[in-house]
Amino acid sequence: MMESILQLIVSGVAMGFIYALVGIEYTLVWNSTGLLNFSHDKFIMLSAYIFAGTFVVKMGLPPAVGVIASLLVMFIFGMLVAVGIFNPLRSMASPIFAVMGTVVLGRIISEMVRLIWGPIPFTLPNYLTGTYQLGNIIIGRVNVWIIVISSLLVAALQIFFKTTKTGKAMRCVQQNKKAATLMGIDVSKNIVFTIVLSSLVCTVIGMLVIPLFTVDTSMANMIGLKGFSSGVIGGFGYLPGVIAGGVFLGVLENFSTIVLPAVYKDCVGFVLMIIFLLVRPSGILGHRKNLR
Amino acid sequence: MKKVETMSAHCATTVNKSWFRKITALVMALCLTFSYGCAGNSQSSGTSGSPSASNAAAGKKFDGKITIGVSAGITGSIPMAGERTLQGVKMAVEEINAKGGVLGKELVIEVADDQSNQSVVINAVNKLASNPDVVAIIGPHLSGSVMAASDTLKKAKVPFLSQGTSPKLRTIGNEYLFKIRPCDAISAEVAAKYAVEDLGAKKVGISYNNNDFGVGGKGVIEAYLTKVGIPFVSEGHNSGDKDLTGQIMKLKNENVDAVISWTDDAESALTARQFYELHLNKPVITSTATSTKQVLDLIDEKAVEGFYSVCDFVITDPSAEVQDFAKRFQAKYGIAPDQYAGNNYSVTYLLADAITRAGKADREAIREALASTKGVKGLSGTYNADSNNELIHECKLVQIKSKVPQVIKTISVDVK
Repeated sequence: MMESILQLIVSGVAMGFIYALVGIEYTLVWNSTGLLNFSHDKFIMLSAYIFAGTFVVKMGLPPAVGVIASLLVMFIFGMLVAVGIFNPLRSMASPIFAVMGTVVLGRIISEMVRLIWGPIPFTLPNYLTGTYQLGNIIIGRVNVWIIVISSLLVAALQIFFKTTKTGKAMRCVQQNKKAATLMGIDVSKNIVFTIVLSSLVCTVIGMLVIPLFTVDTSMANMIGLKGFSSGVIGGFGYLPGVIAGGVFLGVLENFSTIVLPAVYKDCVGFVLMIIFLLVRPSGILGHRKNLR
Repeated sequence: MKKVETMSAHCATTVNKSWFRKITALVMALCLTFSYGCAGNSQSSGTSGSPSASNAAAGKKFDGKITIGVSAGITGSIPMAGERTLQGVKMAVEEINAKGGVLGKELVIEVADDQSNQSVVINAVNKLASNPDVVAIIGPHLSGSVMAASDTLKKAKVPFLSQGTSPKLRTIGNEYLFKIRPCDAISAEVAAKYAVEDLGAKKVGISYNNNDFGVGGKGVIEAYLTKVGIPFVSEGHNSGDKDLTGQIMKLKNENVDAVISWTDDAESALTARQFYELHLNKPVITSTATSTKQVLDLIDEKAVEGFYSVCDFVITDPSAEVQDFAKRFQAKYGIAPDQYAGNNYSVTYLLADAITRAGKADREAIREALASTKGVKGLSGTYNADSNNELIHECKLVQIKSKVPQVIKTISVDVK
């Protein structure tokens, strides 16, 4: 039994870090635009297709080169989305316009992917596969990568937001766009920068989850929602909080299978999100001032 | 002073920008309408284009047209199934037309995209049924979609041929529904029987998908195991789950001798990978998915070696018909056919045969002809209609060796 519990914790933490990565991306956009990007699960899927489908399978590039090429492509894609959707729609009467824009964009991306790469799911053989074993506890190689990369990413983003001028400007834009404009911050440019950054984070997620999720048009649907939950649970808008929320959610979900039938696993995350919204909207580590 | 100028310049750009915004909003609104419009019901172009082209080449003249509807999930959660379905149907239609069509008429198809979604499927079949030219429908292929579409098609009195295999379909009392694959009540029992009789399992684990398909199969397996007095433990998961550690650890702790996995494509790949990674090390019998190429492509060879799978159409079936079909399909589309392609190709021939037997392109007459089908050869067996309108009563048990499903035996049950 002990072995089972340890295994559940390890798998939960590994899954939790994926939720956390997705939550980070929500937070990033939220922190600097005050908007939510509901198409980002499709960004993740798109980047997985670009990386695996085009660069590795079709062009036969080594994965390392594919990573750089995918980041470049998604950099340009993020820029187009920011210029074409976020900037024109963000200052309309209600933020709903921009949020709806992202929902529809997601739909367009997934149908576009189906037309370009076809409907058959595929995967990359021998890419980050394999497991490590400690005693009786097993952890996937890809999970170790995910944990390491997302920790580094959070640390880097945290330093960026706290210390650099651009990072501070991005936080400023989130708090008050008008005041930021009056202070001489170019809001539009800042939003382009944020969306590009978030699209790069999506690319990192997309490339990392391939061995676990396979490349499929609906590969990121569930982690999109769970990432949002982990953001709410951990404290929306606070990066370390999102990691805490993700890991908490991942482990709790796994533990729920001991007492509940396993089919209710997904409910746990969403019920927990509603409870947090009702009881502690600032999340586990959230700061009250981040709420409006 | 300078600041004031900047401010007024800013105002001017705001005025200009407001136009830009209006236009952008308009474009977005159009996109929205367009994307949902598309999603809702379209994709329905008659595909008479290619068949008539080949007929023109053959220099044949037809005396009118017979339209059959195809409801398939061309977009949505399993678009690959929709694509293969269409390819299979189109190939059969072209061949039939090249041989002179049905009753001297050209066979054409009208396609509706049901997105493999239970709410969209109602629009799709409504659209097909409201076209008086459509005499019968192939699809929808998921059991859940059939449940959703059943009433509409019963009211419209359109016979439809579905790949749905859920035993629940036996209870909905729709005489217009025909099932072209072995019912799960048959294939799941074959799996359970093999686990107990051939593998000698004393305790069986069941890993099932919590949808109509998985729960239906689980019910049949549990009923069989209860009947023969073998203890079992059942663990469910949801479609789209990405981690089954919880479920697998439970199966390990229960010390089962064999596991029966009853789930869909993506989850079958996940199950195989995690069984291997978490060292389950027990014989595994699965539903059809694991024997299909698209699922095998997603799994490492080591993870799936020795798995058993219960299926109906399998491309490694040594029979001459299947091998011939596989070769022609590969030549035409550049890919190997799967169960969707094979079964729907085969069922198009069955439908053409039924129309010929009915003697006229009339919905009711075709229904009667289908219900009295006897001994029509198909790719996954012989079509014989029973009182449940089930047409296939046999399945194949295969074992995966180096990622190739090898047929071990064919098991058939009596036609009731």
